[in-house]
Amino acid sequence: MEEKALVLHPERCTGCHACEMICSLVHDGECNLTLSRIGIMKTNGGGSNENIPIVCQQCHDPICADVCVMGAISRNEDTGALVVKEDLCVGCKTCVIACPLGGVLYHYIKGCAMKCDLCGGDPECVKSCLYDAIEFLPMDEWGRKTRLKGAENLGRIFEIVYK
Amino acid sequence: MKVGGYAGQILTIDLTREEIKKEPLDLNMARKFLGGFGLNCKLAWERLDPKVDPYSPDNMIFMGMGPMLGTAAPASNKHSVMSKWPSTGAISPGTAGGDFGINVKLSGYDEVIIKGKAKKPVYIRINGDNVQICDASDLWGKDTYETTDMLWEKHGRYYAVIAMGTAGERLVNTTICLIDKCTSWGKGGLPAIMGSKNLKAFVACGSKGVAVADPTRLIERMRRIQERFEGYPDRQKLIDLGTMDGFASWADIHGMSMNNWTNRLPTEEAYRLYNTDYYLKNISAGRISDPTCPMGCKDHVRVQKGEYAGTEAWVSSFYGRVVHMAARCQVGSYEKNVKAQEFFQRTGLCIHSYTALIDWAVELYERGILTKKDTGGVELKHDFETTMYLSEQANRNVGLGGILSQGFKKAIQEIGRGCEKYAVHVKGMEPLYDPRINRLSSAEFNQVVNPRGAHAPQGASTLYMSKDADPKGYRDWLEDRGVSKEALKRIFPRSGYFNIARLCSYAEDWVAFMNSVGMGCLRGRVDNFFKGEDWSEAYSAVTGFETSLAGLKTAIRRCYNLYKALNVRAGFSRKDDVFPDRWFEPLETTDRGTKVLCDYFGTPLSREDCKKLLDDYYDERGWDTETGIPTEKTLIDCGLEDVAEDLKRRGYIK
Amino acid sequence: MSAMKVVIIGNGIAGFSAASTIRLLNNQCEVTIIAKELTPLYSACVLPDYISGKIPRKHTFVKTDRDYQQLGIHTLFGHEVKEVDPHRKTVTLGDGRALSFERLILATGSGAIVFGERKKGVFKLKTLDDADDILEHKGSSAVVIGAGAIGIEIAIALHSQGYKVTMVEMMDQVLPLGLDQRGADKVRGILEERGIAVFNGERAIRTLGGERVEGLATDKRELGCDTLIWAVGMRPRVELAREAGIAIGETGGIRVDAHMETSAPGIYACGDCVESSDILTGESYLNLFWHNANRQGSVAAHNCIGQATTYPGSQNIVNVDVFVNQVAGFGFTEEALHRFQDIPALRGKLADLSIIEHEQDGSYYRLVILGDRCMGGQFINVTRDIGMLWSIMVKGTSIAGLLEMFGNEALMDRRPWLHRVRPFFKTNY
Repeated sequence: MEEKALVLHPERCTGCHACEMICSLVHDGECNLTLSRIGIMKTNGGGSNENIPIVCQQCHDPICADVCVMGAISRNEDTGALVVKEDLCVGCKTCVIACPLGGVLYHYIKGCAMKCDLCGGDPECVKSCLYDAIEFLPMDEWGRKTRLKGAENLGRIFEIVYK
Repeated sequence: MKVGGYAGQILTIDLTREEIKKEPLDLNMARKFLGGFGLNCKLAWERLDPKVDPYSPDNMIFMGMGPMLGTAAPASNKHSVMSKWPSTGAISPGTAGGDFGINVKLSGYDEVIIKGKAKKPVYIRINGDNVQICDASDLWGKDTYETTDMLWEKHGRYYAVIAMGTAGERLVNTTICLIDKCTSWGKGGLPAIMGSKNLKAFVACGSKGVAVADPTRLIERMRRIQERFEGYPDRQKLIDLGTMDGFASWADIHGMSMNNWTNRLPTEEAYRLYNTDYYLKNISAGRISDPTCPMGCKDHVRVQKGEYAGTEAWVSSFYGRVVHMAARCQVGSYEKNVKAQEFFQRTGLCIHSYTALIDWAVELYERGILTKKDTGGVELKHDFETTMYLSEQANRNVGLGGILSQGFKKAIQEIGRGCEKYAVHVKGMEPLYDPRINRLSSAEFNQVVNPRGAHAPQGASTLYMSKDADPKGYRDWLEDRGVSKEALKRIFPRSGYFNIARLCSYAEDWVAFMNSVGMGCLRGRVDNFFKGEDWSEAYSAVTGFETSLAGLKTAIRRCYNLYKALNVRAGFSRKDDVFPDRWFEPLETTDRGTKVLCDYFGTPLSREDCKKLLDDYYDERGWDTETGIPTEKTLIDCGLEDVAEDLKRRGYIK
Repeated sequence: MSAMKVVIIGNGIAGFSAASTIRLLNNQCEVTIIAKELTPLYSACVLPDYISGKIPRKHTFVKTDRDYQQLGIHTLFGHEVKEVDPHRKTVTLGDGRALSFERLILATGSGAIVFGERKKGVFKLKTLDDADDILEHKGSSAVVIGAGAIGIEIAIALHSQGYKVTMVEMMDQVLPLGLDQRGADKVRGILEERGIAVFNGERAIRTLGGERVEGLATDKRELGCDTLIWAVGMRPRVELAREAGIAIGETGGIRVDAHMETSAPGIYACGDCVESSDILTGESYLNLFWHNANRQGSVAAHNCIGQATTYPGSQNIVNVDVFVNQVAGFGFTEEALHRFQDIPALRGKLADLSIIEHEQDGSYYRLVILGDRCMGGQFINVTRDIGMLWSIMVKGTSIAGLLEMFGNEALMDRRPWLHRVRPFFKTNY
């Protein structure tokens, strides 16, 4: 299966929470902003990019999988998503604190880590976002360029080096 | 089947006693009155003294969240506040979107009731089970933006904040609160009520969930609704423009009255100063949506260059605000327009309301009824300086600006000298739409009969009627929303005509319904893509109560009648449902000739015609045509026997 | 090259990570893991959860025997290695058998440091057997020696099993490798609130009792107990390496280069048995954490089969749940910076030390900044965005540069994620 990834466009996000509502609904059967694997960060009322979608980027070299003391985070070969095996997870939250993006969260009811699993290959948030702030694109050249542009807007935290 | 949608709790906060009480929500009552606006009406009926002084500690604030609020259903974000407003004396609602309502729902409450008065400035914090009355001494004296920033700093940005500005602290009536600096709530003086309670703000952040009884069914319906939006070719344009997508409508096709309802803002000037290109280039800074709204319209604006560069504001119904500053105040440039808006937003002055009073004051000054003695030596004109001068006074509740800021009822009393002759208001509130320019359509007619007073748009009707559009569209809409065949016959008795009064009653019902279940929006950019069955499907899927559209409509007729009954008890009747005198005077425009009050098809309407329309309206509602009060039969038919009893006992129903 | 014989000594996360990485990269290599313990990989990190009853025994296992089979990894569980011969390229097992290798990966791990007599009731917590023993013991009062992360976890686990627990720590504070004094005092307060007595700055001298432990004598007092747990740290197991003539580092771990190769060509080492370079300073010392072992195993595996990869460096990440208070530490504490002030990366820089510290509503954090770089962070009940701070520390991002950006709204506009980091750097609380 071709590699596809969630591409984020924060400049299009209007902060409507639709992605968060549907994510928690399909994963947990209730609408709950704190049980959503995708989160909208609202900046403190300043700047143009006021609403920033934050979701796991399924890193190629994930720190979450490194730190997991139960080996509970592994790659689903079909979707390319890093998935938490809930029956292995003990809820220590080391992955939650180590992730640089805030892509891994804690499911306070189940007591284990939770993160985007790309809904098995057909992400629901993409379908619910009517502002095209989230796309699910194949990682061909165009896809990568688009994703990088989105990352550019997100701030490319890893590129900030003032030497 | 599990029950979803309703959180199951009513939260009451007594500021005098510093008590926080939680009681379970009676689900039978919830089904009868739906939630949100409807639930507010029911609880206000039971708990609020209809004769209470709005500033008294015994006045209460009811905040209702509908069952759909906080779910994934599209456009499920509206929550409703109800109180006795100081500017009108009416018991009526205000509606808003924004993040506050969903966070109250996610904290586990369907309703929040505030009563009493705190000894010193406080704000209320709602965080799930943890509800606190907190010290607000460092917030008092701060404007809405400052207050919100300070509360975000303290509690984190994930909290939604309702802030009242400095005007409310001084009990100014023509004020609103802002949710997260953007969404206005409580036109008619919510800040004044809060000020009288020493209540500065609310913050809410919830981490519980809203249960959904049948997620699959809800998602199926959601996808259908979403597809309709996605299929609309001009979708991106509407998102880019926000409410400015209505620019052509107000600048050209319809129009905005100016000079206190004696003129019309010339189309050429409107285009010159406020066209959408300029908006996109120099004003628009971002688009904000209400929760789950598919066609978000709220604005983040920032003047990029020129005078007042850097002025920044967050505004809902931006185009409406632009129109008021442009036509009523005639402030001039777009930049001045935004600058004035920013001042109003920060202080909490209501742009809809206060600009009308400024407009009136200028005419009074021109006529010599107000002199420099009243103005403090300043000449009143339709310009930016006058606007800022009077609103600055209003913020401090001093001088002429302060008098005006109490709203028409009190200002007329205080000024006297025959000023009432020139005041255009209904029940003390300021109409927006001029039926001479737009023809008497549903929004215009609603201004006369709305128990709240002339209020638009949240209290009005969803059917935005564009002149010369085929009325068949309205018929289809009414049918889709479940209006009976008999009623349709009464509304459309013959071709080439429809009865706006009868039609309006169903449009009003629909808005009230949306504000009760917490889903839907009266803006065309959203409502045009919804069908009536979306609501019955979504409501059934979320709550687990299998309800048809007809069942829902029965509930809303019930709510609306109760709403009316609340205000009957507060002393309102037919005598208050008035067409402003000025509407019967011809409107001389500079570019569109002379306009007179006429119906949708251009047929002029006399006072007699309007009187007849009112009769038709009451008849359609089942209210006594003489008094405008719901009849006993009407009340009993919709399950309000106790209300009928009460009104009979008080002598309102014979 | 492709059908290379690789032998791995040790079945902890380092050894298993090495083995499974080789298999991921190459289907033909012959991979054998030799280990003393009989079980497939389990996580030593979750043993306190097993002791407390939070998870059942079977939940401590990360892999099953079938996983090894499916990966095609030969296993020799329950075997000791007597000798490693780097020249003949053989390892000799306890039963005398010799295995030849083309590449060897040493993942012998570490052992718990224990002093004095192993009376009945005296335990360490390193292996699953240790945990089983502690649970079987069913005591009622325990002294835990050592208040690092592991000591605290054990103390809490025993507390939840109804033990009366006392902690004795040689340093002046708990969690000496994760927090500075102020944060440590808060953690101590939480423990004491729950009835766990904590004695800091106190040294264990002698166990008391006959066959069974009856108490502990410290340099200040005598404590009675029926259970004694040693939690004073781990020591790398390097005997095999040392006897084979492989260079051992000053801090006691096997010395490896950036490719995880030891001084003996073709022999690699990873995990708790090595001395590794710190990601922030490049200095080599012991960084005994699961995630470092995991990564080192993978790097060793890559290099071992010819795919040159460098190890980015070990990360000091501490994470402890103290009665539902999340306590986390990254990098260097202020105290650690002072202790290491003479290493090349830090020499002469200590004069330029600054601290940002803030607490609110039960949460607390402290950032330790050296010159223009953040070198460490300590967090109590702050979980959002601290991973981002760690990235900034690892990248060596200029703090002055960040502060400048924080004050420039136009720049913040183009770097919206910086909004999440800015609140940590406010100094005007």
